[in-house]
Amino acid sequence: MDAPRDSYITNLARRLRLEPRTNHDILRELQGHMDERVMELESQGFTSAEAQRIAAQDLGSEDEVASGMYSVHSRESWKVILVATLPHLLLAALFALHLWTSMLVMIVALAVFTFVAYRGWRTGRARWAYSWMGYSLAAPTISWLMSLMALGYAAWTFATTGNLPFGLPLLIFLIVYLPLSLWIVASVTMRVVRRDWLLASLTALPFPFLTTWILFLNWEGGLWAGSAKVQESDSDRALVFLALAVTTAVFFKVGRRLVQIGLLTLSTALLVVFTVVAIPLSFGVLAAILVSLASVAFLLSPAILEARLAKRSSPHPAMPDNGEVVTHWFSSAG
Amino acid sequence: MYQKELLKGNTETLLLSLLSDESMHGYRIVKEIDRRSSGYFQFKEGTLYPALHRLEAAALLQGHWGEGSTGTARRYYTVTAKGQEVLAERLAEWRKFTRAVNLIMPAWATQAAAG
Repeated sequence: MDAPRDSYITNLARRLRLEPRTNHDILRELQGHMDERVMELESQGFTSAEAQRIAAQDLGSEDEVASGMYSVHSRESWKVILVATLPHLLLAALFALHLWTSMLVMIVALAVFTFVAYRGWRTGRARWAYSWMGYSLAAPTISWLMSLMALGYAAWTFATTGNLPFGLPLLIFLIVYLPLSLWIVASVTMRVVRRDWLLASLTALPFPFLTTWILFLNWEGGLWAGSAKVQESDSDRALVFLALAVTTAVFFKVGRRLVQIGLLTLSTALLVVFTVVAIPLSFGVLAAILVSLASVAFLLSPAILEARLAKRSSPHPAMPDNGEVVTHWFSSAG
Repeated sequence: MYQKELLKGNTETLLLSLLSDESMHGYRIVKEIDRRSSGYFQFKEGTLYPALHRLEAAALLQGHWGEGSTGTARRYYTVTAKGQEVLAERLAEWRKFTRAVNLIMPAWATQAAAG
């Protein structure tokens, strides 16, 4: 059984969902406070266990302390907010100016998203990096889906005609690429969820809109088919990504998690309905509501994943042997 | 309840006042507030730290790591120049407020407070 002091610090470490460096400093500060209180109580004749229990009680509930710290440290400056909203604004510009039809522009945009997300992740896992990460993960996710569809098509063709619809080298490439792209997406997702499921939801924010766009493109004959219907709906899509930028800005300006959860849920629900209704295909209201519900469920699913990961993780994430307070996500920051 | 509300509304001014004389870490702040107010103000310790961090985020306090009495690392807080300005403004407002309150309150209450 944990000592009350260790148990308190461990519980607090699990509840703090801030940048690793901030988490580390807060835990170190509160651990120092508890140590001093425990020492004082022991000098008054209390046993070590009693002193630790009283010190933990005096600090108040871990939830209260974590919530107070979150409300202070989760509010970002306007400069950080601008950086966090940039990927959505870039996408809005790509659609507003019809630039997505240029393969070169799309490749450059994807490279920029991936590079910025990677830099943000490596330099202290800055919170602004998660909105960039969403777009950089779109490439492996969508290509995984397309590879899966291509392999399914190949299997069906082979089973029915005895021939492959494409060459053997491409088939081998797809077979190798499928688990590789899945591994990339799963590994990044797990790392993000371990930090904070709400940041994973923020990362996933553009996915429902990118998916509906890809499906619509597919319906209209493919990525570069030049369908007039697709180009006509570009302004609606630009508006959606502009709305995602506003959602991200508000997310980083409010310091309360419940408000942030409500904001992502409401924004996704409304924007998905708008997206489905705006697509020039005959979708009914019921279809729009169903797609909207599925998108919200997808966006909130990292909460379930985090709960499962927490159950499986070590019971002592905050207390390594040397007594220094280091969170499990900080020690693996690299 | 009323005492809690009064403390809530004045926590930041109390912290700035206390730290304007010397740098302190969280545990010492709790002890000093308890000692100087003769036990009247009893901070819920866990809520003190978010208040200190809020003041630091607003650039009214500056935190730095040092060594505490137990030899462990402690975070000390110092009032910044901006913090001193804000404190001066708040104290001037506080004087006006208490003078106005004293003009309205019954004489026995204000005499007891002065005594």
